Amino acid sequence: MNIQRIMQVVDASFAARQSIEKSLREIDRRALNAMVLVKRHGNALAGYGVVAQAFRERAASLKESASHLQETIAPLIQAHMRILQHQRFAASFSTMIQAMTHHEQDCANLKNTQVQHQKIITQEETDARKILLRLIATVDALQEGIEEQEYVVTNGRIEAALAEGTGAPLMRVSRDMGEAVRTVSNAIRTYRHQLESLEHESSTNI
Amino acid sequence: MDMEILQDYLPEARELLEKAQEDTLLLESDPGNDEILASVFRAFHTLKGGAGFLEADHLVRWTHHLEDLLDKLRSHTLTVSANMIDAILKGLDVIDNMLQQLAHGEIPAPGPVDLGQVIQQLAAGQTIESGMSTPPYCPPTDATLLASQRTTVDGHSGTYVERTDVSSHSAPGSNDEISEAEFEATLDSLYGNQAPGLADAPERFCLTGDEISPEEFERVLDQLYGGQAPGYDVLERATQTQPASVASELDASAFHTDLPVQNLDAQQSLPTMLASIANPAASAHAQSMPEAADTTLRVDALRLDAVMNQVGELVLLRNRLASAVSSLGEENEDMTRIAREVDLTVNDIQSTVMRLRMQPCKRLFQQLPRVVRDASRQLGKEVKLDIVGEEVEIDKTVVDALSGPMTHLIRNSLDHGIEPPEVRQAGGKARSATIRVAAVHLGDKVRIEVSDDGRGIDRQFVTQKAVDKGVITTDQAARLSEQEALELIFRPGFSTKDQATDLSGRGVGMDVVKETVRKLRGHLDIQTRLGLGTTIAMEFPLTMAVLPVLYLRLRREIYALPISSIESLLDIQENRIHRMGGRSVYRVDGTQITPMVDLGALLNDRPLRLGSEPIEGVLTERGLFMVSEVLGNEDSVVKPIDFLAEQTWYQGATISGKGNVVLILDPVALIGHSLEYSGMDRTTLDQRGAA
Repeated sequence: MNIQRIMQVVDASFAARQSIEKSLREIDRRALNAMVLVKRHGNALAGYGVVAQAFRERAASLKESASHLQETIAPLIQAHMRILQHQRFAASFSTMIQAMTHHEQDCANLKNTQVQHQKIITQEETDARKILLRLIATVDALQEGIEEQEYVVTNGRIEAALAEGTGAPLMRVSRDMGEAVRTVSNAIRTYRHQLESLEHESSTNI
Repeated sequence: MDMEILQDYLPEARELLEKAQEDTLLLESDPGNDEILASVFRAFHTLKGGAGFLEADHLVRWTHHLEDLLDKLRSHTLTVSANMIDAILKGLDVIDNMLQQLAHGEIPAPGPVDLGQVIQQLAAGQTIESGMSTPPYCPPTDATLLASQRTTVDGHSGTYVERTDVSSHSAPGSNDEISEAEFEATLDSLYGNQAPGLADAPERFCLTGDEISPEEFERVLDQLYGGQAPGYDVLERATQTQPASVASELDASAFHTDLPVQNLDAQQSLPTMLASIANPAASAHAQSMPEAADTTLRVDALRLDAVMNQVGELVLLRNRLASAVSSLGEENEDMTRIAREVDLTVNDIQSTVMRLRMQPCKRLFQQLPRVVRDASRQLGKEVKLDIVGEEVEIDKTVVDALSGPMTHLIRNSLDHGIEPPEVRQAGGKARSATIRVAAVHLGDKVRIEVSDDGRGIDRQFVTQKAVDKGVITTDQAARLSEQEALELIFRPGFSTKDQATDLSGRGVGMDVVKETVRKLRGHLDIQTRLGLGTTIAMEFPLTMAVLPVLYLRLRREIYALPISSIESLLDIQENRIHRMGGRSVYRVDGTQITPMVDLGALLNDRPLRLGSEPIEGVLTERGLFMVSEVLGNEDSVVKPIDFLAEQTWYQGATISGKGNVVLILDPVALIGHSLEYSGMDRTTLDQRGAA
């Protein structure tokens, strides 16, 4: 893995976090909009009020999960930076060993240090992979949250259909909620693909 | 004066008065309706009875005159005329004044002598016209009045009064008419000289024939039971509608005890005796109609207010509990479940108490036919009043507070909006104008509309008048939108009339309407079409007990906005912000452009910086507010902050779920201030430029 690849992961993480946060803010706003609408219609839309409340609570829960995402990204980047650092050291020792061989000299300690660095790299890669898997698990939790949110949106559509007689634009509100959830879902799916490709690279020691 | 009786009497008397006024107006269009005549008569009769207990002699005398007139109308001795309706309505006003005096703990002063004389002359004059000039025949004084308790075949019991001659009690066909002196003697034997309401018993008790009039009968009943006679309602209704049939149902043989009233010497003796005699049948009767007696209860409004305040406190506690439980986290499921159940229970209590305070709009509208009638006569206009949605219920506070503003709106419409009949005819309209008063439910609001099909409001004329009267400057007039120009009519001191009349022109009424609506957390809207009419709509929250609010953050401070004023929450986009006429506006979509108010600039003196700090938009009916973040909603209880200056941009304060005091913003005041501020700013800049 090179520095460009790490920078790509960093960029992807940043973009995903931005997109998720923005979409979650949008979801929260949609939920609040729905709750305002429900409140303005008195008890007639009480059923939809429960859905809107659940939608907002799920959004808050997603926000909480997204914050854990950020907590995991930093150690992953740090781990990869350390791997790079040790790879640089190992490469440097390898160059020195080659130069000494060229002058028919042999330094056992230098070889030993190079082996030590290779071991550290392997250990760091194992740690990085663990962090990556933890990150993917967090993203999985996010995706599950999104699926639950989609379920709430479906309930909202049913409630909206039942309350159609009140004249409140609940179908539109439900559609807006659905779109906001889809945006988060897409952002998370894209991010997961990037993490999976990183995992693939990590597992094959490319 | 017995204060306990007074407290019971006043609300009932007011209801009777309102009913009597409504019925009197109906009489005008349906003068021969016996049911209405009987209803008005009963109202005066009951008012008089209660007043007698309170020793309000002038009220007794006044209601007696009106009762006398109605009695003759009811018996068709006289026929209803316009003069009579006028006299009755004015008489009702006098009673209203007397009730107000009673409410202040004063004995009512005498009513206007001239009106009293008119009422008496109407009663007496019509009697002469209808050929009843024959002097009344008064029978010999040795006749006596017998009260008896009887039971009908269907188990109902009642008290019966019959006239008999002591000397020839058993002689059929003898003249057994009761004289005035005889009646007085009977009452004296019952009560001594303490009989209430008999200060001026007239000669009309001297009747020909042996029939006991319903009035005479009720009078005796009143003296016996003081309005508490068993089966009073049933008997009275039956007497008013089908006296003959009731009489035929009586089974005199079932139970008959002749009680020579003259022989009773103590005030309580007859009721006590009758009660003891009537008890088995009366209790059977009471058992047969328990629902009617138990399903309604008159409760002091102050007690309801106290309950409402307590529920308000309960709502605040519920919010705090919910907030505390949510911070515990998901692992504490029991607490979460308990908090949810408390939430549901408090919601139920809140909704029940809310319903306790609800009253139908009928109470608010019932005075309007009279207003329309009087004002249209005074102005020489022909007006039909349509009332829709009388059954729509709204908080009692709104009903009480809106009575004056509604009257003013109607008068204003009649005076300014409705054209004279000939003008309407010339303009191709019907001679008779229509004023429509409607109440409709709109979600958590009730909308009350007053509309007319008159001339509408000329915005330019209104603006010019406002400038002429110094309400606004010429510069301000130039910047007004069409709607703002219309709303000038709600400014203090504004009137399109140069001279004030009885009905309008002082420039205070519409201002009061607006202020009342504001205090009731309502919303006022005016729509007009020149030549076609005007609609003034007021929207009020269904209940005043609880105010749903949206909490928002402005940098570090938390504020609340009433949810009823919010349309939606928006993500602010820079490319939608524009400047128009020195004001910031926001393009919501392709069709809606709304004024934009930066709450940071207004409340923090530091504008919010788009792009460098989080900003969200709250779209209200009047404009868009820029805030840092929208936090969530809650049902709050408004605590007044009357220690602040009269005009502020806060509706009050509340306590949030986290226990913090949060100020509730008044969106209308904020937008109004912002628009004025930007206007002033520009004027100042213009002046500087000119200098």
